This record gives sequence, C-alpha cells and structure tokens, in this order.
Amino acid sequence: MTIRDALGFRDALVVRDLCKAFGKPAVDRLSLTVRGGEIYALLGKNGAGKTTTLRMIVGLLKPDAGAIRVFGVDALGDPRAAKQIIAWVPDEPMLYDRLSPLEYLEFVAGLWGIEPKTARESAETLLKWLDLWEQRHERCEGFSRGMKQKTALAGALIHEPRLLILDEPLTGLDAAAARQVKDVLTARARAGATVIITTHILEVAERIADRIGIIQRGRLLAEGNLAELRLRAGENQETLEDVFLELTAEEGAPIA
Amino acid sequence: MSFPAQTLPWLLAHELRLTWRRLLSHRGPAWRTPVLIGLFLLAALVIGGPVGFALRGVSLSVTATTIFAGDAAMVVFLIWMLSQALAAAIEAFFTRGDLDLLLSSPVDPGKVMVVRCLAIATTVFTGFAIFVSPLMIPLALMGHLGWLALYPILAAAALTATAMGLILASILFRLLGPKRARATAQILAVVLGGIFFIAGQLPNMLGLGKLKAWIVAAPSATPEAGHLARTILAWPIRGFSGDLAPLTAMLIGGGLIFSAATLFIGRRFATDSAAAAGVASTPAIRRADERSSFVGGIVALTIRKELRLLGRDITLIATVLFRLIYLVPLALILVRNADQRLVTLVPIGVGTVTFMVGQTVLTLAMIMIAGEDSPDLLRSSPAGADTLRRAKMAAAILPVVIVMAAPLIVLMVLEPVPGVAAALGCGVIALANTLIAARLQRPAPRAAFRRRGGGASVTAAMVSLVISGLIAASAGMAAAASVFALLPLILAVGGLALINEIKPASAE
Repeated sequence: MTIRDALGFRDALVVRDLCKAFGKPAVDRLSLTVRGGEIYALLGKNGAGKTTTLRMIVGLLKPDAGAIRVFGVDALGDPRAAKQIIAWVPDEPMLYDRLSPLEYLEFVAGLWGIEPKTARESAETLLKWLDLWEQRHERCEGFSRGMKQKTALAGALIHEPRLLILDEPLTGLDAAAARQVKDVLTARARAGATVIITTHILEVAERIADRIGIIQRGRLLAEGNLAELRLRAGENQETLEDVFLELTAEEGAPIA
Repeated sequence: MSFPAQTLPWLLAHELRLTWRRLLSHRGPAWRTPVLIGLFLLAALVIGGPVGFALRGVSLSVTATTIFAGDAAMVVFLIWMLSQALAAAIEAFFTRGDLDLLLSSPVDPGKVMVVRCLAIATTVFTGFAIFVSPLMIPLALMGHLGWLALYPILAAAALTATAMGLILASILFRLLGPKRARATAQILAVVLGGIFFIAGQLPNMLGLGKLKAWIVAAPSATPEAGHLARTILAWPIRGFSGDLAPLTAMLIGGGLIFSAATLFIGRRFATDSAAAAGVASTPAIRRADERSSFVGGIVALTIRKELRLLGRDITLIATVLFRLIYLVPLALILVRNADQRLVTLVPIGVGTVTFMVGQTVLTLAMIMIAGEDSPDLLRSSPAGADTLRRAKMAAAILPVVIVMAAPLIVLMVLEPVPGVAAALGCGVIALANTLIAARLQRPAPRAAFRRRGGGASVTAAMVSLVISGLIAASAGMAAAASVFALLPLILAVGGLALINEIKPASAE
C-alpha cells in the first residue's frame, strides 16, 4: 500500500490502452492515470487526440478498445454511474440561447436528478459566486463569451461532480473572466474534486496544474509535474512552453 | 458570359450564382433530386394531364364571372406572395451574409440594394412558377399554349408583392424597431399565408351553395361585362387569355412599383441593416416565481424546457403557426359538416383533420426531438436517452392537444362515431409522427429548423406522408363505420413497427 492509498487518495481516472480511429488512429493505446484531488493538464498540438480522449471519458464517444475507470467505476460498463460523478465543459458552451441561466441550471439539475431544494440553493450559490446573479433572468443569447462559459461552468458544478473535465475552458475569455474560471477550478480542486483541463495557453497549465500530460498522435508522450518534464526535456528548458516545444518537436518515444 | 465589374448585371449574376450553389449544396440523400423530379412529373401526369384533357377544347371568354375569378385569383396570389416576400425582406435586414463586404466596397449601395430586392422577387416568382407548372405545362401541350401567359402575370405579381413586402418591412422596422419588426413581420407573414389558405377554403366554410349564389349574384350587381372588360379589373383574365396589351401593362406596372419601392427604401436599407446587426435580441424574461422553479422530475423539466424554447423563438412559432393556421379552419369545417349531418363530408373531414394533425405534430416533433442545441449535454448526463426522447415526444404532442381538444369534444358530442374515430385517429397519427421524427430525422441545431422545410429530412417527410395517409384513410373509413378501416391501419402499424427497429438518428 502506498502512502497516498493509506491517506485515502484514490485514482480519479484510470485509462488503459484506449484506442479510437476515424479512418486513421486518433487515440492509439493511450494509458494515463489522474489522481484524486489534483488538477491535471492534458496538452498536445492540434489534432493530437486530446478532445477525442476526453469525449470518450465522458461517454460521448465509444472507444474502439481500452478501459476507462472513474473513481473505480467502469465507465464503459456502467456509463450512467460514471456520468453521475463527471461534469463535462467543452470549448463551445453547451447552452440554450433562449433560456436564462436560472432556467438552464434548473434543467441541468433535472438531468442529474438533483433534489429541487438542493438544486435551488446550489444554483443561487453558483450564480452569485460567478457574478451571474443579476443576469439570472436574462436570456443567454446576449451574453458575452465569458458569461456563457461561466453559465456552462455553473451547470457543470451544480451536481458537485467529483471529476470535472474542461476542454479549452479559457479560449476567448478576457483576463477577468479567465481569472475567475481559474479561481473556480483551483477552489474545486482544493475542495476535493479532480480537474482535468486541456489548454493551448501553457502559462495557465504551468500555473495551476499539479501534473501535466503531453500527448502526441494519440499517445502519451510525457507526464509529470513541471520539474519532471524539465528533466525529461533537457537542461536548457526553463518554461513549460520550452519543454512542450522540445518534447513535441522530436519524435519522442511514448512512455506508455 | 461575364458582365463588367460593379455593374448591376454583374452583381445580380453573383447573387444568383450564390443562390444556385446554396440550392445545390442542400444536404440530402442522392435519390432526393430524382425523387423530387419524379413527384413533379407524377403531379403533371395525375393533375395536369386530366385537367388539360378536360379543357382541351375550352376557350376562355372575358365575362363578368371570369373577370371576377381572375381578380380573385390575382388577389389570392398577391397575398400569398406578399407573405413570402415580407418574410424574405425582413430576413434580408438581419442576415448580413456578405453585406459587410459589399457595403464596404466602392460599389454603389443602391445597386446592392436593388440586387437584394431582385433576388427576393426571383425567389418568390420561382416558387410559384414551380407550383403551377405541373398544371400549366400539360395545359400548354394540349392546345392552350397562350395560357403560358400566366408566367409573366406571376412575374408582375411577384414584383408587386416584393415591393409591398419591402415597404411593409421598412415601415415596421421604423415604427417598431428592429426586434419587434422582425417578430411582427414573421407573424404577419404567417397570418397572410393563413388568409391565402382560408380564402381557398371559402367554398367549404360558406358552403358551396352559398358561394355559387354569391358568384352568380356578383356580376348582376356590377356593370355589364362589356364595360368591365375595358377596366383594369379585366387585366388578369385578358392577359391570361393572351391579350398582349394588359399583359405588358401589368409587367410594366409591376416593374415600376418595384423600382419605386427600391428607390424608396434604397438608402434606408444599409442603415436599417446595420441597426439590425447591432441589436442583441435579448428580450428580458418575465421573472417567474423562483420558488416554483427547480420543481418536477426530468420529464416535466424537459417538457417545460422544450415549450419555453419554442415559445421564445418567434421563427419557430411562425413555422408551427403556419401548420396550425391550416388546422383550425379544417376542424371548424368538420364540426360544421357534422352539425349539418353531411354524411359524406364528415368522414372526408375526419381523414383530412387527422392527416393535418399528423403533419403539425411532425413539424413540432422535428423541432423538439431532432432540434437540440446541446446534444452533448444530454448525452453526457446520466438521464436515460429513452426518457428524454419520450419527454420530447410528449412536448411535441401537447400544443396540438391544446388546439384540437375542444373541436374534437364538440364533434364527439354531435356525432359520436366520427368523433371517436377522429380522436383515435389524431392520437395514433400524433404518436406515429413523433416516432418517425425520432427515428428518421437527423439531429440538428434548432436554427436549422427556422426556415420552413430547412433541416427537415426528406425521408422522414415522405415516410410521414405515406404513414399519415394510411392512418387518415383509416380514421375516415372508421368515421363512416366501415370495417375496411382496419386494413390501412394494419399497414400503417406494420410500417411503424419497421421504423421502430431503426436506430434513432440522434444516437451515436
């Protein structure tokens, strides 16, 4: 038994030999483990297989092969149980333009089967926390991208997910909205949730992620905290950007 | 052939090329075009052939009755065209497309405006030309070549209706502002379409006898045909008969009205369009009692969500109203016939109403079941796909239940057998069409359904036509207490059983 196990930490996500091909392989025998309570940044060039991997984890795509376990639940064998503890926030917010934030949260809470009283209280807390309370009766169609992203984030958090997965959550946000989203993610991780994000803004990953995974051509190229990745990339690599460019430029052998 | 750059024909050629390519790029199965051509030829054979044969020796004389009929037809055409032109004109203000590019170029904005208006007129004319062709081509082939003059008459009407639509849209824009103008124009377009339909139903609604008496009485109340034939009232029928003078006059008149309209709103167009683009269409939502929100299970919440989304989308409301507006007069005619104990007409009415209920439910089901803006939200949630689909099916049926409940109850009281047949027929056809939409309609964002027919699957529509036809026939026969009612019903149920085996189009 490891020290982590003894302390009650469980792996939030275990992916083994995951494969998905759309004509050619998009995800190729990918294996990775995300620990409970950490923020994990999944990085990769465009088309590396990040979004495909995440969509398989949240049950939107069926893998060709492999296994996915979320907090011990077999996500492929019992997708409903896995979905109950996951929240998914794609790069394009999953909203209804003609619903207000409050109505949107009402519907999402229904989808996750949250008890009405709890849902109402959570919605109020989240909307106030994300500075959307004043706009709770306005239709989302007139919202800025940042407000839409925050509404979608509130929807993702209303059922208090144990695993929060976000695909490019900061793209197109202004500095204030981006800061607010980052604060929310950090706070959720501190409260015990596990967060997986993909991002092209490497400074964000460098600043908030506990561990970073880099994938290329659907396979894990490197994984670890920044210090470990620096070690792998070579002595002269200071920033995550240097490390990322160094690792993805060479034909590195996958570690898993 | 190419025109000098920046000229009107050059811009028009550009616009028509884009329109043509949009038509060609319309997604659909490979057999779609041949089937549509086949349907066109079938209509020409089934409708145009017999009519052409029956009228082959008939010559059209200009009498008070034909003048009256020609004018009535012209008014009905104009109303219907105005409905289409108004909808197209208001969209032209909001759909900027390449307008920013054109208006930021050194091309005269007036020319851009004229081309946009011509494109609307062309679309309105083409729709009608296609609509009348299955009748007109056989008629021309069987000896009435001169009756092809209907096409220039339609062109003149299209120019006039487009001009009226543009002016009306512009006035609404100025009086009500961009947001309300759009909503008002869309509803107005539907109401005008409804008037067109109701005008066509006048013989049934008034009773054929009354209308005939009215038509016969009308000429006697007017001056004699000789005088009438020299007035503008006779232009449509004289033009249709091949008289070149009124035909040319109508074309020139339509062209002048169209030119005046484009001049009238030409400069305003760019300003109004820019104003429309700057409008964030975010009407405030009436504040509901927050204590009443978050109540109900996922089925109730899904139905509430679907009805909210429908109620807040004026274009989709217009699409649904367009269906309902056909349904209401039909239901009234049915009740009227039942009240007068018209034994033959009641079963036909039951069949027709059942069929129209099916088509209305199909429209709603396509919007609510296949039209989903956040499919990934639903699929990433633990809520069962079947539960959500059933809730959406219920939401699609609910508005029709609200509209049809009262006439069906009245019918059941007046005539129990046809009443029960109609109620059962409507129920079965509603379920059948939600099933067809769920299984055969490809999922798409709701925006795809905002245009009438846009986003709708041709396969689903055609299967619905066949199945609805069978169920409607069964309901009609049941209303006449015929045991043969079971035969089309069995065929329909068999077809539905096969459709039920198809994997839902929305599933991965």
